[in-house]
Amino acid sequence: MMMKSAMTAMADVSVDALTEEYRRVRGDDADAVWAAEAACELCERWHVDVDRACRVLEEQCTTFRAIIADADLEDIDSEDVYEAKAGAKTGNAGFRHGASLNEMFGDPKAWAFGRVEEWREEGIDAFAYERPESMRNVTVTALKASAPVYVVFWLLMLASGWSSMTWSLALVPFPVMSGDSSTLWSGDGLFPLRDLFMPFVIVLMIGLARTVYRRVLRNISHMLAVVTVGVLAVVAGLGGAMLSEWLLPPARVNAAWMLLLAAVWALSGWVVARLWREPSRRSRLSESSPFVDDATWIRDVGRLLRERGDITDGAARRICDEAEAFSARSGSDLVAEFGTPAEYAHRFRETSVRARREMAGCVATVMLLTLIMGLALLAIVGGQWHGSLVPVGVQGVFYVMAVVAMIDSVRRYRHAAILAKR
Amino acid sequence: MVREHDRQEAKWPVLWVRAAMRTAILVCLEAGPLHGYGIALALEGLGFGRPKGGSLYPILEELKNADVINDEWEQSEGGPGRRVYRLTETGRARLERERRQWNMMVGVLVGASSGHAAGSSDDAVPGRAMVDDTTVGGDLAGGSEVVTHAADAILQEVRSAPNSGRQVADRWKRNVHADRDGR
Repeated sequence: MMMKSAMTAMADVSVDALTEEYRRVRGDDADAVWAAEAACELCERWHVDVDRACRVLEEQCTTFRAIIADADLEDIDSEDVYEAKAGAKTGNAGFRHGASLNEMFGDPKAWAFGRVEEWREEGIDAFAYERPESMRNVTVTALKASAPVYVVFWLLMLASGWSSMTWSLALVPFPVMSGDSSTLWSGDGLFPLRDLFMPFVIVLMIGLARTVYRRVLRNISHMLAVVTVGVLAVVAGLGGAMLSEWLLPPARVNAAWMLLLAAVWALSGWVVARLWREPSRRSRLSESSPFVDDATWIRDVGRLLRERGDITDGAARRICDEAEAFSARSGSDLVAEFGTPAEYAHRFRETSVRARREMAGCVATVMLLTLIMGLALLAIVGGQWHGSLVPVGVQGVFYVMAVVAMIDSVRRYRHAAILAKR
Repeated sequence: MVREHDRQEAKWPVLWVRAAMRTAILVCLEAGPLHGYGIALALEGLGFGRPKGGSLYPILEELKNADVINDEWEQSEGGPGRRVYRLTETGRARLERERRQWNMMVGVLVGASSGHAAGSSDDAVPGRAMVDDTTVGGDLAGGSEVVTHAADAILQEVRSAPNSGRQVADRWKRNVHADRDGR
């Protein structure tokens, strides 16, 4: 996490410095916004390596400066030139001279798409797809991400027990109170001890599932990755429930414990991040090396194609088989004919497969949450739900977020499908 | 390891070749299905130079995703199976459309010097040449009749004989040179 944070921080600094350069050319904030949008489009949308994105934006900035300098020399009277220079020096917001960057270079999205197409066409490896996180990063992220989740739980408990909960129950963690742990969350600020660690476990399981999925996807196949994550979720769910039954006594705690644990997780995340060094990543030199043998080339291309997330298992196998067959007929080795593994794997245009998989994941999540919410609502309507509606409320919040994500994923899939057929 | 065959350079600037590559692939597939290496040799025969696999297959994949071509596994007699690519109906429509567009563009570029009007009636007839056809390989829309017939024959042979691609390409060169020398 430290290395990734350092790299992300460096990337942020580079992009910030770059957008500032754009702003300084003629003192216009709109130019900095254009550069920031272009950088975001390259790195987030098209998975372009940050260094490459910064380099191409720097080159564009040089062109931009030249255009402005030429325009200044050509037809601007001395008063305007003075104002232009003064504006650029003081960073006078809102001063504009000449056409906007949209008019000069096009919309940032279209500009970024043009660069990506050029790199793919020329076989330049400019891309860096998401890689599986290390266990260290998963743990630290889970610890830090749990803190706000616990705060949300605490706020909801406060809201639901506003009339009956005392401030001491809300702010002071009392000793564990023995009781029947099967009791649902009551409206007076008390909840079962066995549910205390549930939010952290859920956040940790989500991070673990993501990294396991990416590892299995990269090294084996998408199908096995999905099955593995499914099995992991079931095992973790059952195992977690059994462990909590076995380890924790049937007792209740008050709402303040949520606030306490939020602080504990946040502090733990900070401490663990400092003590647990980021493991050195296994070298991936062969992926960019022009000296690999054919067997390594095939293995690396397969991994990189699957890692993209938008190439199916069958398509990845077919691409590798065709490369071998072509190479055998042409008499050249694979590197000579196709380039390095990274160059070749990143040359293929983006397909709609990733968007389709994300949409399928969102739909499955919404269906599962709908089932759970439906059962909870039935229990409430049927008078079988005794106690606070805080867990239902939290679930409702996640349900709304999941539905919004699903709608967005459908929109992105439709856009990706149109783009793929262009 | 078998040595790489002598690769013929493209007859035209690389930017032109890159711009026209997709149309050229559709031209190669127009008369019938071809495997990947067959497409590469056919492109070489058309004057595009033999593209490396790293350039060719991403374009084939792109055309496949756009439903312009499809692929299938073909078991050949006496040889290893191979994947062949075939033009779809969508692909044929796209080829016709692009031929018209190329014809119009070429007419604009050369029309003033050679007296051909831009967008003349010739562009309504698929395959009719709009440029001087003594250039080896002609243009994408046709070329001389002899060149066109030779190209068709070459493509037929490459499709039918799994291992004759090199000999077929050499014969293409001989045919075209003979055609030019005969004038």
